[in-house]
Amino acid sequence: MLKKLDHWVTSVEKWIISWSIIGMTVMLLANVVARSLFNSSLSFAEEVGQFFIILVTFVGVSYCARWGRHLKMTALVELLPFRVRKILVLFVTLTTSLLMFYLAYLGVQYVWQLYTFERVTPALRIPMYVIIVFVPIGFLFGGIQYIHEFVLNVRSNDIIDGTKQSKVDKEETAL
Amino acid sequence: MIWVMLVLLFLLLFIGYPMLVPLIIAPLVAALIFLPDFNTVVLIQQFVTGIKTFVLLAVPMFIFAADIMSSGKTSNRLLDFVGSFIGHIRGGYAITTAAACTLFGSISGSTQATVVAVGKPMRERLNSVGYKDSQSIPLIINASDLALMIPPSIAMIVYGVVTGTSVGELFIAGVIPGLIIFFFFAAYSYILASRKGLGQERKATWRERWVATKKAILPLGFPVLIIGGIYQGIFSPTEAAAVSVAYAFLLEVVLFKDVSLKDIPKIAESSAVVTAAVFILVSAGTALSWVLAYAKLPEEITQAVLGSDPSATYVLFMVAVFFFVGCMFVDPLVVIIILTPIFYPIAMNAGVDPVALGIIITLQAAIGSATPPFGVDIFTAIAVFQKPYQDIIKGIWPYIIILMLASALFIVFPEIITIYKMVYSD
Amino acid sequence: ETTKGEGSPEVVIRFVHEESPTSVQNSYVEAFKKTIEEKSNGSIAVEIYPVGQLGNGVTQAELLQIGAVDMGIVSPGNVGTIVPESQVMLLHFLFSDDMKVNQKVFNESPALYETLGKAFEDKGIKVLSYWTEGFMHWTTNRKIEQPKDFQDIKFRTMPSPLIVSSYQAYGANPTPVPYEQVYSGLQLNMIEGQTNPIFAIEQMKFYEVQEVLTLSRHSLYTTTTSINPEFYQSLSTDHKQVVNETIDEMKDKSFEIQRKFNKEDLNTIKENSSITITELSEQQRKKFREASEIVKQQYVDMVGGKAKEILKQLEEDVKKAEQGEPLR
Ligand code: NA
Ligand code: NA
Repeated sequence: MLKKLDHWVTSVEKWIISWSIIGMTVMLLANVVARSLFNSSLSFAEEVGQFFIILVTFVGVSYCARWGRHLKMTALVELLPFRVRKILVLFVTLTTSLLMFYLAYLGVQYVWQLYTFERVTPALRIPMYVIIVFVPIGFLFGGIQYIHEFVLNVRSNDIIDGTKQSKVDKEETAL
Repeated sequence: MIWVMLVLLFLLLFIGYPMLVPLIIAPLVAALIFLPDFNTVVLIQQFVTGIKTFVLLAVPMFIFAADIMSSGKTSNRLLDFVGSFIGHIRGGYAITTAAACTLFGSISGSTQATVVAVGKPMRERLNSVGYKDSQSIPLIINASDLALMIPPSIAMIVYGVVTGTSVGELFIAGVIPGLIIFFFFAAYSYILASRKGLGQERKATWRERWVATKKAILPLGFPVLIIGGIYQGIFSPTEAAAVSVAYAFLLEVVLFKDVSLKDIPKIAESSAVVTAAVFILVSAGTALSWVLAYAKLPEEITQAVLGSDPSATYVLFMVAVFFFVGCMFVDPLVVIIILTPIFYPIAMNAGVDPVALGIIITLQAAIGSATPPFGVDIFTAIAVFQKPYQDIIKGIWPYIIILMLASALFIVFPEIITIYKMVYSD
Repeated sequence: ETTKGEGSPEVVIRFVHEESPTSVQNSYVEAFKKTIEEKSNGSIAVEIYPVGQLGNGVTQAELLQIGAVDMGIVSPGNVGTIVPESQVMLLHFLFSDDMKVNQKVFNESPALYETLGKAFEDKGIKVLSYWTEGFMHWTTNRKIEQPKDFQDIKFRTMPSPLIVSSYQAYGANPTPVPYEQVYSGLQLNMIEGQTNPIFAIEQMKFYEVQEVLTLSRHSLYTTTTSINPEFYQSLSTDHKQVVNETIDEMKDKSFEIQRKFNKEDLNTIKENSSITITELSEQQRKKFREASEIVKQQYVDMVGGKAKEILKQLEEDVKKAEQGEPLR
């Protein structure tokens, strides 16, 4: 059940971020065509582009966590003995997830504020909170990924990076 | 407060947190301790503001275009062409990389976009003629600095907006220092290649050159289209990034059929992951610098350092230090917006030429962006090349030293920058 | 934290603005700081955050709303996305071409201080005063004498629907471009014209890359000095009074500042370039005024609520001021 849900969330995230990239391209191209061939610029090109960037970045928070693609520096950690590294990984994943949950909470507050002040986008006049709501959503799912990674690390004797790698798949069947 | 932040930044980074965490925790903890009435919701607002800049849109677009081209054969066709002419020269490919970064940077105006678009195909090629990643990647990251020096440059525009200096003059003034740095890089590449016996191929015959040229004709349309389109005013540099995606699509999917339409969403996904990994750090860096500005820290520190009535050279030297250090942590544009208003009046009192100041600042921003621990180009490179941090930064120091020497040269002889005034007048 | 010394202040005002250290806004805020610190004998201190260091126009307005900063220069051009009624200031040919008349309107208008002021306050922004940074003008590569001269010009505007409509009404192709890209856009002909007050045209050097500067005075670059309402309420009665007095003194001062800047900067433009400078005649202005009339109705329809009332009242206030009648 949980696995199915996770699978479903993964697909949705993947769909959102890849089509946002394609959407951005189409939007900017459409504006070039409209401006030079039809002499009528699209006043909303910039804000739609920004919307896609926000989608990619914040939905990407969770997606990158899933695949262990968040950037980090492991040079010094790799010099440490395995036991210390293991303890560090547990600590790092747990606290990172707590931070993400806290950021999700702050994000909800910001969304609420935009909702009450009724801020809209400049050209299309779409309520801003509809766009910004992806910030807390991204952090929430990111936090869930890090909790998941923490649990996988507790259960495994190995060190696991991300929740969706080949090594992990073995673990998941054991769950 | 600055010490608390620095200790947190490095400590958390070294014990293996995703970089995002130290960049958020440091300002958060510092603000909670030192700024009692700080409203933490601002952090979220700044995350969003940080990535909303229109020019940043070019970055995912160039990543996407480069991904499409490297899925197919476009970039190889181009590089075969270049290689057939200069592959036999010592360091030829490395010099080509520097030249390609200069050319591409001049259109994209973004060091990150340059790392992505030029870096991906060039790295493969350099490595195939014997370069190690620790030699090829640092070259790419640092040659990308020229994107800010050669016009049009967003960094110079922002400096112009903040100080009221003529953007046109800044653009012109950047060319000579930019070319000087290019020659430094080319010379270093030649020396490196000669000493290690790198990157030399058999000299191609004219027949081989002709074959390579024919294969490269359509891909060669790429720079022509981009540069031509921008200079004809058909599209903006940001839009040029989208046009390059369209051109890559046309070549690979429609004409050469090396990539199928079905592959496109998959390619977009990989571009999106790189974008997300980099942009979340740009976001966090913006929040970090917001907290610094809010606490008025940059002002306090500069006052302490500069004292009263400093000399022009000393001011420029301190400018270099502050911008360089700032850009090691946050996006260059953010650093320019925060630090410039503090230094500008001091520099003017000391008799510094406003254009020279702008060029020195731009150069430092560019160098800082390639410098560990948090330089944006470094994490762009990690994301694009999927190499560990330590591999990326291993060979970076010679370039940083070259750039620092160049900075020192311009600081001591700002005439090199202002020489354009002899030929340029309104 | 940063302001120490003799009789350390009881209140520190964090004041944000968007412009450079040598600008209209900064001169205003510096003068405000000097006046209020003197008036309060140092019990009020002002910390200035210039050049949008803490964020651009909208971001600053949000910071003010949540109390992260206390005061700011908040411009209707930026906050039309938060206070839709404030977009009335974007309409063309609404104010007089006589700055003296406008000064009276900005200092006293009930339409602005009461009706529009209420709309701001509903969104957590208390407007203390309205003022202007000068008339907006056009720069282009061809002469502009009548609306049809705008035909098909790729004209840079902000993305707001009302501004876009205004230029569509003249026949132009309004093209939103971020401020930082305007110079290079004009230089490379991606865009062919733009509108700004003189001081901005000088500062951004748009005159280097344009042929004609038309002193059109089609609208005013309007702005406000605003305060967080809770912060204002938290001030002691004495301090409130000092704030109010300072704001009142700054009202006329703001007009002097913009006059000085725009005059000097126009001279700089004349000295440094060969750009053709023209003015619209009364007859020509009339044509533009007629062409832009439909946008007023669009403002009323788009914004709804108090929009109609604000527009009507403001037009009456301008008329009264032109005829030298009292506004209330
Ligand atoms: Na450039
Ligand atoms: Na760089």
